[in-house]
Amino acid sequence: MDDRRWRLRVIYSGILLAVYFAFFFMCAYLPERMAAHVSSNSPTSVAMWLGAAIIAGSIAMTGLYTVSADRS
Amino acid sequence: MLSSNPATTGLFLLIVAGAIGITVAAARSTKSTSDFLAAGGRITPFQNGLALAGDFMSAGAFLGLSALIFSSGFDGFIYAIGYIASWPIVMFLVADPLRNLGRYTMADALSYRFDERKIRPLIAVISLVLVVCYLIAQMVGAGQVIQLMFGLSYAAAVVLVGALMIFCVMIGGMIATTWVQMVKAVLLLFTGVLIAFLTWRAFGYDFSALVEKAISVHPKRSAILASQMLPKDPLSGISLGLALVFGTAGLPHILIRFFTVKDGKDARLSAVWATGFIGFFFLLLFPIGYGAIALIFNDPAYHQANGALLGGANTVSIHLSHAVGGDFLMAFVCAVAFATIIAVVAGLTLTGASTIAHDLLRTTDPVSEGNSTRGLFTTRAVTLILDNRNPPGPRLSGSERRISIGPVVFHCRLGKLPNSDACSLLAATHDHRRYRGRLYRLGAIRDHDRARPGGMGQGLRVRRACCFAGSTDARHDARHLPGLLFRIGARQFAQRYPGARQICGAIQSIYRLNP
Repeated sequence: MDDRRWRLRVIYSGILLAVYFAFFFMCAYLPERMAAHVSSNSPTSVAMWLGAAIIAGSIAMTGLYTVSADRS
Repeated sequence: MLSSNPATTGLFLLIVAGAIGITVAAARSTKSTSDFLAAGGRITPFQNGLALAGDFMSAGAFLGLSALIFSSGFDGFIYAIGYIASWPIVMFLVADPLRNLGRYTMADALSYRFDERKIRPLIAVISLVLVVCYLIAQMVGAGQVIQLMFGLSYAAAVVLVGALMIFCVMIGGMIATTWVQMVKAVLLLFTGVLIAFLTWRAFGYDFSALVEKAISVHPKRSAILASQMLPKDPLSGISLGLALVFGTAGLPHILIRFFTVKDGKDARLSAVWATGFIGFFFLLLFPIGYGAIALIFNDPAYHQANGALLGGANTVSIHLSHAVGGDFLMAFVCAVAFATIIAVVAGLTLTGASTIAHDLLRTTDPVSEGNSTRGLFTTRAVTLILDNRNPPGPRLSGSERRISIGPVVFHCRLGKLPNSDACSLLAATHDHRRYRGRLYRLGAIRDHDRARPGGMGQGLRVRRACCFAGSTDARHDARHLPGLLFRIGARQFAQRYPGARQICGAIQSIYRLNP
């Protein structure tokens, strides 16, 4: 049981950290690309949507993990 | 200054009266150390999630992040995104194990892995440094908000907030702190939704129009749509990223909240609720932050003659509430900002108190330091009775059995070790069924525990312990023992009840001696 839970912890943490640091360094090294508008009709930027997606993804990930952990 | 507005005074007094009322009500149900420091573990996951959100969404998150977005655009969101990404990390790596291993502070869990005499003072000092640094930030916010509301001096504001919080924490403990934080979280979420909605409405419910206006008035123009200030140096970037993502897992006032729930599962659920509330609030910062740029960046009504924002840079949210909701909303937001500060200060004060009492002075668990006379007598008496049997499982010498059994029963009789835990520990080395009757005759376990089929309340754990004791592999490889004991929960108990730690050591030495 604990082995499976630790595996889950490592996998979920790894995914989260990989996505977060990818976003972080894209913001640091590609500011123009990240500031680009997502479409010609919208002034919102790629960075804003990616940031909102990471926030929503973090919430979803906690829910998903707790379901997986309860099953293990 | 808003003191001329009666709504401001009324709402401020309502917040103060609410905090005092909660404290007085909570004081009635605070009867023990566990109630005072961990609310007796009676908080539900939803309540704790709300309180965690209330604890985490401090003045820094509400006033500071909106101010950062106001001045630098998306750079403020980098911090918000880092903060929210830290919550799954807290949940995956900290919440569950911390609740299972500790009682009141983070040092409880860490002293399971390290030398307790060294790690406790070290963690206490680190916790106190963090608490003091965090308190300074909250007090700066308190000073600014009260200065804006009543024109009081900065020093008077700090003394006022400090005195109120010392009263709340001293009288109501963790229960009062939890309720103050829950009320504050609800108020803050409601305020965030209200300001975001009114800002959105000001632009005809068109978020694109809001962003376009923000771009047109900000001197950085479209650069506010992405980060401009992140370090280009990879090491600095990694350092900042790690601080944002792992920082929350080291905040002592957040971590002690996991001790207020029943078990590890509830601690996980608390983190799920907290992540939801905090994530939702941070999403609201998009319309609030860019709305503030659009509506008040070029409005001279909110600026001094020299161009600086009235009341300082951290009052952006308060000015935005005035721009979209008038005087009453501004008074309400000031009151919520004040509630935000007192809730976080309450959590920090309690954390400092538990650190000093539990980790530095060790006043909360005198038995763990060893009650030598009574303990020795009980241990000897029990050893005399139990020592003349040769139980199945590992073969023990007399001295080994004395070491392993005595402290368990001693702590059990003192009420410091729950019966189920005691039996789990005994089951790791002995046949628990055989010893159950003896423990019952000694008065160490209650009748219903003895009568319950399948083991002492937590039968599954006991059976696992027995499986472990009978496992050939485990008995032949002492190297696997710590991991196996951890799985069956025995080491967790040893940590939770420091006197029983000898048992784990004894079990390990038994296996080394009798492979």
